[in-house]
Amino acid sequence: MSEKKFFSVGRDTQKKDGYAKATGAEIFSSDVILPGMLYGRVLRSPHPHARIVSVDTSGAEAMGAVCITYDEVPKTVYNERQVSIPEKTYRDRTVLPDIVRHVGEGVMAVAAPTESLAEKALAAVKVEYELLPGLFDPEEALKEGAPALYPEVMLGDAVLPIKNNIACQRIIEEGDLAEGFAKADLIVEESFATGRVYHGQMETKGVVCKPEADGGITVWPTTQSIHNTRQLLGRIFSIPLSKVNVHRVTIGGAFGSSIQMNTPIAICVALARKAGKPVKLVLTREEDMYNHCKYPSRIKLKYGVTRDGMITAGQLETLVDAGAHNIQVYPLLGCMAGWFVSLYRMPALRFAGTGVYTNKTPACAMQGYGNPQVTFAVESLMDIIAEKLGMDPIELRMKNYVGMGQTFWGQGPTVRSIIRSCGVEEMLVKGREMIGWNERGRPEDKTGRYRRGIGVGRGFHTSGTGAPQPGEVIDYSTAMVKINEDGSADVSTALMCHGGGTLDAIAKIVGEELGIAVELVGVSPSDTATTGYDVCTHATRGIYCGGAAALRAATTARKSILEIAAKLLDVNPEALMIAPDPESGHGLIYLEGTDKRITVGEAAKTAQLKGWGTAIGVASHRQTNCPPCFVTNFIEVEVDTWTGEIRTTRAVAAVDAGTVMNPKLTAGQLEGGLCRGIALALLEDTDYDPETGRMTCNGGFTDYKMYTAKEMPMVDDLQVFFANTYEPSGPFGAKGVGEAANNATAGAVANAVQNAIGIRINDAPMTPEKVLKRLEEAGFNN
Amino acid sequence: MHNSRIITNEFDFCQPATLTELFGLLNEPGGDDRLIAGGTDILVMMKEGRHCPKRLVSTMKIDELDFIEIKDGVMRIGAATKLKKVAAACREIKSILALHEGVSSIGKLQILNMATIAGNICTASPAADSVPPLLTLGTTLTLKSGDGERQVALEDFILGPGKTAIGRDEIVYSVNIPLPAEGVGSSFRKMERVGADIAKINIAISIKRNGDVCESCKVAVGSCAPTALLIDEPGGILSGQLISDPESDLIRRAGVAVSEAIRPIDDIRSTAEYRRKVAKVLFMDVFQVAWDRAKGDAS
Ligand SMILES: Cc1cc2nc3c(=O)[nH]c(=O)nc-3n(C[C@H](O)[C@H](O)[C@H](O)COP(=O)(O)OP(=O)(O)OC[C@H]3O[C@@H](n4cnc5c(N)ncnc54)[C@H](O)[C@@H]3O)c2cc1C
Repeated sequence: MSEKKFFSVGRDTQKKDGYAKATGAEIFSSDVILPGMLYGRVLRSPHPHARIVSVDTSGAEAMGAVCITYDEVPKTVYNERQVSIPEKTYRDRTVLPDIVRHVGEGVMAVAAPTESLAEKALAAVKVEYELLPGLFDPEEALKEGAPALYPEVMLGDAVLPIKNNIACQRIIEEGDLAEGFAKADLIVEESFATGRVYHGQMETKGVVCKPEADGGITVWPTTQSIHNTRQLLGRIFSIPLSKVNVHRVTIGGAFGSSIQMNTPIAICVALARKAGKPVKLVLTREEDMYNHCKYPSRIKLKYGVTRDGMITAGQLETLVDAGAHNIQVYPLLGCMAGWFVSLYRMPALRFAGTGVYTNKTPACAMQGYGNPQVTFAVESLMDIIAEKLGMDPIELRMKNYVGMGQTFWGQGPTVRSIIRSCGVEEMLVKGREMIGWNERGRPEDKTGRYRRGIGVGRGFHTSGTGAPQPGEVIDYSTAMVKINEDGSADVSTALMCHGGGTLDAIAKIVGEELGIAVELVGVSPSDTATTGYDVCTHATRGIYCGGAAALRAATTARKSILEIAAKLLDVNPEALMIAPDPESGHGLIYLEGTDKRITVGEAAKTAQLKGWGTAIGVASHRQTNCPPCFVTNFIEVEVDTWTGEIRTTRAVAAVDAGTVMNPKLTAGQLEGGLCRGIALALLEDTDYDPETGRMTCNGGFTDYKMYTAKEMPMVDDLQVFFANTYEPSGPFGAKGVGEAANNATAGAVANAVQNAIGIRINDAPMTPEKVLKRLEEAGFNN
Repeated sequence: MHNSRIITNEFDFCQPATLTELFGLLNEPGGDDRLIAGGTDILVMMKEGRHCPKRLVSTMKIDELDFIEIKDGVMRIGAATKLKKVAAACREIKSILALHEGVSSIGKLQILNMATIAGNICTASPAADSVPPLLTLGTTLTLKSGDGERQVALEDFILGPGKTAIGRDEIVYSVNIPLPAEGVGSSFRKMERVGADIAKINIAISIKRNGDVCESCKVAVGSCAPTALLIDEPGGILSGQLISDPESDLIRRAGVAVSEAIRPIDDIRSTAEYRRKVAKVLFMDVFQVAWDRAKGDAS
């Protein structure tokens, strides 16, 4: 824990983009308008699986629309995800396909002076399809003789034949499994499932692309990584990267939906290049919902434990329904193994994961990346074990959790590090007090129509994917910090803010290091031409990894300004300190115990006038850890045993994020994560009609439901707290928060439901229809 | 895949200021007109391509259609009255609290501020939330055309999903609710997937109570048949009965009768089986609330 007092880190400060967002002044990619700009629209396949025989664009062209088809786009086979190293990147798609593999897949695209004309032009396009059989169930897809989605795909630069629609597989083993289970007094095994959830980010995916006179392109996309977008566009369209400039544009929420260089971006670039004019392409909600979803899960989980509650072995098998493209199943399986392995210690373990292609919307990363799914299974099974052993579920967790000093590989087997900060016990002990754990009672003693129960769930996420050695996943950030001639500073980074305050935290880290108020730190607009590489704002890495690079850049700038000041004050630079003036926020450089002092601004201005140069720092930095940010949820639910409806009545959400940068924003993150986690447990899923291959919700919010404040506990019944920890490897002791926020929730809900009604439900979402059936089977009567 | 962002179909838009002007427009020969009030249903359908009218004629500037008056024991609501105003007016009258509850459950504030009572009825959605309470209250509609007017019982007006008994150049002019006498209590409940949703099933009840005797009981259930169903005296077992306990077996049996009377289907919002099971529960819930409300000021 830190003894250090911070100036701005850890304080609630005004969010820098707060006014602009609240007043509508902020520019999102759908707000970008350029002279002569056309509007793009994509013709979407109504079929789940079909070969495109012919496309007749004459009608659309007669209306003045610019059209692109498969024949006119580069045939580069790509994967929109660029976070893994090439040898571990499975590539199976082109800008436009010759075979469509899910309803909603783009077939061709048009651009026209108005969106309305573009839409009419689409209606005039004639496509002839040769229908192919569709596959909607992953187990069916695996069967011998099932229709094949792909004969082959690319893995790195090699051709990879596909058998039984298996996208990829991973088996990870450690220790002697047979011996581990032999040592157990109790072996429990259960199956779990979670739904095919839609990201539901507020802003749908969109992009504006301007073709430049020199053959280059300038792009304003919704993305979590401007640099990966740039690199992939450069490769697909064979343009040198110096002529591909991708701007950072504020994004209206992400939740993982734009980790990739999303497919509309490449389509828009192709349209703009053909038209020779800027093109804007913004997905409708329906298109967006047919574009990506969370990985659904089917998990078989088995643990062996001794009578006194020590785990001897664990095994997790999972079948992942990837949908029509393998965007990132391989790293996902590694992470799912990591989430499993790093929650509780196991002397022996086995993980076996298979990803399978089906003719559904392709799944991609979404908040937690397999973690909420795995943790739902693990935390449910922990309670089942505790019950069988007659042990308090919290005690069982305390005995087995992976904590301080232990090895941990949350991001998969190639990303190992040692835990150096851990608030697990603090959160369990304090949280149980706050929720009233000891009064939760036993289900068999509860009576009446409405029954309440309390459940606990633990979890964690890693802060980034850093490790001492290079792995399968790329992870580093770049930042530049310069001190301006009035004592303010600018920080430039390719990191994104998805709404959670990442860039505010970066400004705080820089201000803290430079000894100036956060209000004096500007976050520069950024694009790929003027920033160094940053892998992606994903994996809960913004503050921990991006912040660490910013801190290093700030340290260099600080050293430089102190050297300037030292010259002016005629002292040794190492002896100087900087602190912000409490009123103006300006940095004051001083020699303790003397009256030697100069402001940062005076030093910078003098350096300018004397021609000494700018105090500037640049750092490109990889973190050699990815420490776990732990979370704990205590949740109380109320089950209406006559209707099967479940309400969340109270909750305690705690996080161990190390030093908390922005307390209010962190609390907001926890509340949002809790809300989404409850919905994973109770509500969200996309069903497919096997006849048509369409989602039964049709891709709209009329029938794809998400929770809002209405389904959350009342304000006074929702408590949030932060564990008091300090991560030595993090910037000013910070770790991440983002994805951790929803990882523990679904398990806590399932455990609460069990505590309320004595019924264990392993297949989420626990809809009232499902719950009522289970209640009836258990002898409840309405 | 349709584009929910824009309406590609071109159409004219008229905003008459008086009924005379409105009927003039509707009577123009060869017209393909569609009325628009708040637009919260019709615009969605136009985006989805389910309706492609050549001309939209708005009722929103016609002051003659925006009123709520009570005369001779009947509450008359002008067709273009916003739901927000309707909900507020019904909140003040205890015997029609079910209507207040039904109307205020429609969408949320944005919808209540835009949408109208006639729009809710004329869309003829089986799930419309104003309809079950209106049915239990014995509502009639006044329809007007350039040639005159007629009265229709709400029950006879809604014929099926999207289908009503309205004539080509007719409009709904007002919604007429006979205000119940003393001793009537009503209640509404809606079961939803989330807190602001179209109903999985909705139910309204209106009970006439005399002391502890139930004199009459009317129930209407929505989203469980092609139109909301009015069930007069469920099971025929409640009228004239002494209700000692609103949770008694008698009420449960009436609830069973309700779940047997409905004709639900499986759809995106729920299953037929579930709807049947909970119809009974919802009946018991609304019965209890309405029973207490019917008791008078003591409750
Ligand atoms: C987000 C959202 C949530 C919603 N939630 C609910 C809900 O919870 N419950 C619910 O019941 N509904 C809901 N609706 C549907 C809709 O809001 C209601 O049905 C509303 O009352 C429609 O009224 P309007 O004035 O907007 O009708 P409009 O859309 O303007 O018109 C609807 C129909 O009525 C016809 N019409 C309008 N006025 C007249 C008239 N005077 N005479 C004859 N025909 C007329 C129109 O021609 C059209 O066919 C929701 C809609 C949205 C968009």
